[in-house]
Order: sequence, then C-alpha cells, then structure tokens
Amino acid sequence: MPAIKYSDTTDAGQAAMPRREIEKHKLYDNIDGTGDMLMGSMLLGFALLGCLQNLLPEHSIWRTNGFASLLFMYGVMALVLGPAYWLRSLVKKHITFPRTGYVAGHSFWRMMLAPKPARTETAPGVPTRAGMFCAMLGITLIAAIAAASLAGLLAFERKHLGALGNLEILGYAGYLCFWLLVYAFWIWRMSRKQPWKWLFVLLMAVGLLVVGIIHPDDFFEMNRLVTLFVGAVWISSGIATLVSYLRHTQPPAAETP
Amino acid sequence: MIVSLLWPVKECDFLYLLNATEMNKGNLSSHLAKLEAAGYIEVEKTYRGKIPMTLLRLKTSGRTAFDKYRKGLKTAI
Repeated sequence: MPAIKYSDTTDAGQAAMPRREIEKHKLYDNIDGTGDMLMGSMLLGFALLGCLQNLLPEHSIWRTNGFASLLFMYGVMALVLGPAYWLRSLVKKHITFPRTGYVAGHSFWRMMLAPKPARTETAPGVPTRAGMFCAMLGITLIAAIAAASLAGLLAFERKHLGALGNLEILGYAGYLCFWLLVYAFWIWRMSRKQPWKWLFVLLMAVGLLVVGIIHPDDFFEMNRLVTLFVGAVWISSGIATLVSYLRHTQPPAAETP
Repeated sequence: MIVSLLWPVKECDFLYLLNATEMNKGNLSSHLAKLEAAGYIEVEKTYRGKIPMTLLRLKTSGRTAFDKYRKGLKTAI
C-alpha cells in the first residue's frame, strides 16, 4: 500500500494532516477494488430489475400495484447486493486485511449525529456532506456542458434517431454524460493511486457513445443497456484493481509480537 | 503521525500502521509503547484465526489532546 508522504513540514501542513488521513482512509477502502465491484453489482442489479419488469405480464400485480412493485424492486436488489456484500467482506477478511492491514471506520450514525469536531471525521468511503454537495453540483454543471457538445455530435446522426427532437437528444446526451462523469468522479475520489484506471473512463466514454448512437429511441431500453454496460465496466475495473493489488502486495505474514 | 492516522478511524491493526507510516516494526512498536504509556491509545492483543493481531484505538484523551494540538497550530498560523 502506498505510504503517506509527509512532505509538507510546515505548521499549516501539520494542521491539515487529519484531512489527508481521512482521504487516505477513503482510498484504502477501495485499494482492493471491492468498492468498484459493489457499485458495478448495484448497477447490474438495476439492469436486471429493468429486464425482469419487462418480462412481467402487463396486468401483473408486480407491475400495477405500487407497493408490490416496490417489494419486487427490493427483492431483486437484495438478491444481487446481498451476495455482493458477502463477497466483499470475504475479500476484505481473507485477502486485504491479512496483506495490508485492518482498519475500521466510525459508524455511519456517529458521522451523522455526533457534534463537531467528531462529525468532521469520516469513515472510509463516506464523503463529507459539503464534499457531496459540491460533487453533485459540479457533476450537474459539467454534464450540462458535455451534453450540449455530445448532442451536437449526435445531431449529425439524426437519420438513426428517428423522430427525436433536439431537446430529447440533449436529454439523452446529458444522461450518458452523467454516467460518464459519475464514474470519472469515482475514479478521481476513490482510485487516485491507480492512474491506469482512467483507461476505463475512456472505455466507458466510447461505449456510452456507441450505446447512444445505436439505441437511443426508447429511453427505458437505452437505460437498461446503459446501466448494464456501466455496471460491467465498473465490475471489470474492480477486478483489474484486485488483480493489481494481489500482484503488488505480499501474501499475509505473521503479526508482530 | 500515528495519532493523525488513528484519529479518523475507529480502530486499526499494527500492519496497517506499518504500511501507512513506512516505519520499521521496532520503531513503530517503540512509538506505540510511548503513546500507550501517555494514555492516548488503547492496545488490544487479539487473534485473527490463529495469527496474532494487535488492534489500536485512539482513546478519548488522545483525541482531546490531538484536537487541542490542531487548534493550537491553527491559532498560531
């Protein structure tokens, strides 16, 4: 695991140290790629949910009744995320913790309810509230700009888009850009120590563009394709991270007395 | 350095601190012994299966001392 470099020896640097440690702990949480795999599993779960809902008969209670469809959604997601969480804990317990050490963050409720300054502490993988707000705002703004650019590109392919109007193209382009930016933000936030993962961002950009060009007519069908593709890329980057982690770390050694 | 690593977490083990600080085992053990003697950290010797594991937690007194230290630095700056 990359060590923390205390190159800043000034007082300001010393005062800023805990924030850097919070960042390091967040990065450590995804050092084995399990965070990526979990995110990918969640998206594959949504894609599976969309496919299963499509297969249900039109007058089925699981489609027509709000409460039943909610139960159906939770059931499908539980079936996907349950094993994903279990696998994650197995990897942490048998691979990550024995190789590079065990660390446990504070509970989520301590983060949310404790008075300052305890509230400024964050568990690995949990962003600060201000950080979340800025991230969402930034993603929305950048997605809007990128969507306008992509919409121009897609407009040249109007013959494949049927009767879609400009606003719809903009909407679709914005939706595709949103996913790309979310993934790019994830890589920047959680995987800064693995710059090769930006190749997956490039892969996702190309893939989403292809999805946008090939199948933009029905939004729900495109949504299933997009979540399936994004989920698969996320899981692949997680697996690649795990392989890289196994190659660059030593097998478990006995603890020091 | 060690206290700032323990501050944002509930607990961690010796191996994690060893990797994070890039100290050698003897050096880290010596620092931890001093912090424990000062009452800032809690050291728990346990097992992960059959392998011994040393868990480390920052005590309330350690957190208070570290927060005072940080406030003092910020005031000075």
